[in-house]
Amino acid sequence: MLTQQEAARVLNKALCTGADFAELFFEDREESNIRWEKDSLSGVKAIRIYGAGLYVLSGTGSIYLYSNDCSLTALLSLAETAAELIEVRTKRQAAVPDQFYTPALKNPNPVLLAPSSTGADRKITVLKQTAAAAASAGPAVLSLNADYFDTDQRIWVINSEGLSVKDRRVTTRLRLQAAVSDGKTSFFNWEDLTRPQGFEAYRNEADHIGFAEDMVRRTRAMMDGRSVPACTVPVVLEAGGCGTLWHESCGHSLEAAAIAAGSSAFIGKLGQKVASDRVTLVDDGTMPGLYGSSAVDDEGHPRQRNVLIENGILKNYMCDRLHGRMLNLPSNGCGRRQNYTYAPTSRMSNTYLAAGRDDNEEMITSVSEGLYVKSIGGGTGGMQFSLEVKEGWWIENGRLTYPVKGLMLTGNGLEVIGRIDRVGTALEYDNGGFCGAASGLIPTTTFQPRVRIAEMSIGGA
Amino acid sequence: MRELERLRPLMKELPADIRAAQVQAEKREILSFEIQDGAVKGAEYSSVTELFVSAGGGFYYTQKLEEDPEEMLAKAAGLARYSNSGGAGPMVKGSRLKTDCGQIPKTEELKAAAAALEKAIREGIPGSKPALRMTRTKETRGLINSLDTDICCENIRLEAELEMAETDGEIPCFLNCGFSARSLKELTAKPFLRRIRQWRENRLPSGTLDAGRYRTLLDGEVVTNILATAWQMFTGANYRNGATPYAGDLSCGAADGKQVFSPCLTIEDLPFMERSGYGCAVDCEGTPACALTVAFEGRLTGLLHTLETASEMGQTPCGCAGRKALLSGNIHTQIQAIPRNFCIRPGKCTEKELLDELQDGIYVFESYDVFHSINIASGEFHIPCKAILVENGQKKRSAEGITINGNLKELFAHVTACGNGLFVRPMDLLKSYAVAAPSLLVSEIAFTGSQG
Repeated sequence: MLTQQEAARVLNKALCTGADFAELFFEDREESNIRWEKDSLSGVKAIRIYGAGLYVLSGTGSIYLYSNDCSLTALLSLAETAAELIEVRTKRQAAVPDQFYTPALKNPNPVLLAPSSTGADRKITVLKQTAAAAASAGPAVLSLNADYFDTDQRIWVINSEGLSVKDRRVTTRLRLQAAVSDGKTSFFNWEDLTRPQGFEAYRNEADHIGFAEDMVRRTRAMMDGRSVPACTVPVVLEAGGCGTLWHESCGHSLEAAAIAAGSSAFIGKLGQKVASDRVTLVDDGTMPGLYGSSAVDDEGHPRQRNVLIENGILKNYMCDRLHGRMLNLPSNGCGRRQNYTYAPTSRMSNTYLAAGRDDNEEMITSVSEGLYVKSIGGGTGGMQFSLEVKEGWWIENGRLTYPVKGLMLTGNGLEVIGRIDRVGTALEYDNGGFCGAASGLIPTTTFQPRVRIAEMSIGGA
Repeated sequence: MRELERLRPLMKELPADIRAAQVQAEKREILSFEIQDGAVKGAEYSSVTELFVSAGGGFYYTQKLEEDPEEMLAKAAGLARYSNSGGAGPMVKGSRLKTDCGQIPKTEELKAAAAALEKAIREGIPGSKPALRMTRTKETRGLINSLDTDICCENIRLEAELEMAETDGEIPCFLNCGFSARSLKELTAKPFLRRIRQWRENRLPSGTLDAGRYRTLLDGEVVTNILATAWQMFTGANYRNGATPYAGDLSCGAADGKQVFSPCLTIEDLPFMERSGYGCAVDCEGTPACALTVAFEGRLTGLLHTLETASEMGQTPCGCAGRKALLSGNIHTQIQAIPRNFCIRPGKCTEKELLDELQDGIYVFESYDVFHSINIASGEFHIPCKAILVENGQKKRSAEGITINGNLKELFAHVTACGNGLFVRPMDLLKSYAVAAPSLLVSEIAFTGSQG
């Protein structure tokens, strides 16, 4: 890595043709991956991700360059290319200040046991326990792959405004992929157990063993349910991970990049009513112990709590530097990227629906016919969203009657958030997972209290 | 390949405690320009080389090229005790393949071509404001091993991607589409203009759709969206594990095998394909790439293999070993079978002939999120989509918020005609392969209804 003075030289070079902002993002990340496949250990892999990205802005024009050669010579050459590529109509004289500052930061996810100081044998033990629990969880598991991952990412962001900030993010993860058979057909499923922690995440065996058993049980439940005829009914979504509804139905559309690109239904609606009065939606990258949290975003901006919708009124968008500029809004700590090979853009972190005042039981008992969703898989967002129902039950006369299968919840985000007619009092967290979009895969969480949508069109084959 | 030079001597004389070793290098150099309203809005340039080092069954991946080569090998070998392979995995012996991508467009050429294409599209669709990104990607794949293999293959890919936003009344509409090629002259405005016009034409007044089973025309865009996930049903690993609805269906000879596809369906995976910049002369294991026929005359005739699964099943690998199969929350280090250009061969019917043949039914022109809505082991699908009701061969009204439901094995068995066009789609975000398909006429598909 460069010294601060060398980095300043690179930034000044990038600014020399008149750009108004330059930033260097350095990354040095170590990962390990251990795989259990076909009843045996198939290998331990060590991974080193190393490189730098140079981000240059001129008004709302942007240039992004990156390389895994982090020598001063290579980065000066990159800066020269940046200066050549950027088209500046009005040249400004920007210069990097002599002194750099670092904001006071608080790491929301301190690490107790660094993965790098934990031997592979201990990690293998956790993986074996998890794989064994999945393999013996009941139904016939035709194929099972289990992976253990840990990652220790160190970043340094230094920019032409004088910011110099370093951050370290440590995470661990177990992934199970299995094809389960009921004797007639087989069914594939995969799930992650994510932790924004070091190896201390596996102190309690019951956690990862329970994850494996639940994963196989859920896969079997996905096979066993009954199809639902097409209908329009109330839909109750359980507290916790069903909050993916918010990520897909309106989270992506509240990212400044979507607003700037004209691909959001929330354009021009700041200050307007966009959802039911019961909806207060927050994106908060500071929450301790959550997968989407970190001290700073990937532009070095301290993470913050952003209220996006308050009592149904649109209050804010999630902004990175560039797309904030396009909207005349300041960055609010939402500039994120998977690694140095991506330019930052506006992304979610921990997105949740704030707790309401409605009674959990009444949400179901007052429904004569409807759908109860216990668990949601992934989905896609935008103006039309879709979500995979992993585990759902049919409600009749206020009671859960039988499991259902083969359902996707689809709809128009604005319409659906306008139809929320119950929000429970108990907010429950979720482990989180990955969101894939323009700046790669980033860790996020999305959660909620139990909610009810007054009506939605649903139905399977 | 320069990045392998320092490791080459080690492959010839391995340290005493290492029986076999292999190093693969992937270098990717990217230059792109984003143009809107005739001006450059953004640009990207990058050069990244990845090294995948296998030694004695252990594995080390690094982007830090200045690391000492012996240390790289030692890091990999140090993890060998956890492996059950006992070597560096399956390796190609004595291969000396070298390919050169020839002249590549220079920076100013690329910028000028991007500006010209954006202008042609903008002027071709009066009142439009497209944002066009043109990208030049040079990929170099090198592989050396202790079995005297020394491979270096280059590939050049040019891509143009368009984003366009419009409003339909008060409803925002957004189009994102792209095409790839191997030379700039192949990237013309014509397919973009056709796509934009089709996008506008399909925005018909919305109506209701009753749930039920309908004769259906799946647009090539929808079929490729399905293939982007469905190709996994045709890998050797999933076949071996019984994790595909086609398990047990593989045909051994011309007259042998079950009829599991419609006879009008030919599915192939091609190392190179017209109108696609994707593919490489050699795969990540060093196997030279050749064409693979997956489905022909109704039978399952081939699978996507790595060296390992090909060897296990006694089949010949076709150069499908890759790494970047699907989005994943980690660096892609695992070798697995992935497609190059996975495609359904076009038929002879024009779009009008397909609509005439459909007469009364549903034309599905847009679909979402097949990654979560197709189960590759069972073949079951529940795909959210947008469609148009067709009456007497005429498009009448649109339906949103609907899903098509069924089993892909049944769907592929009930194709009655293939269109003569070919829609080509790169694997989003990872850009590691392409899928391509014509429109397909299907005798019956189940739909959920919409409220209109």
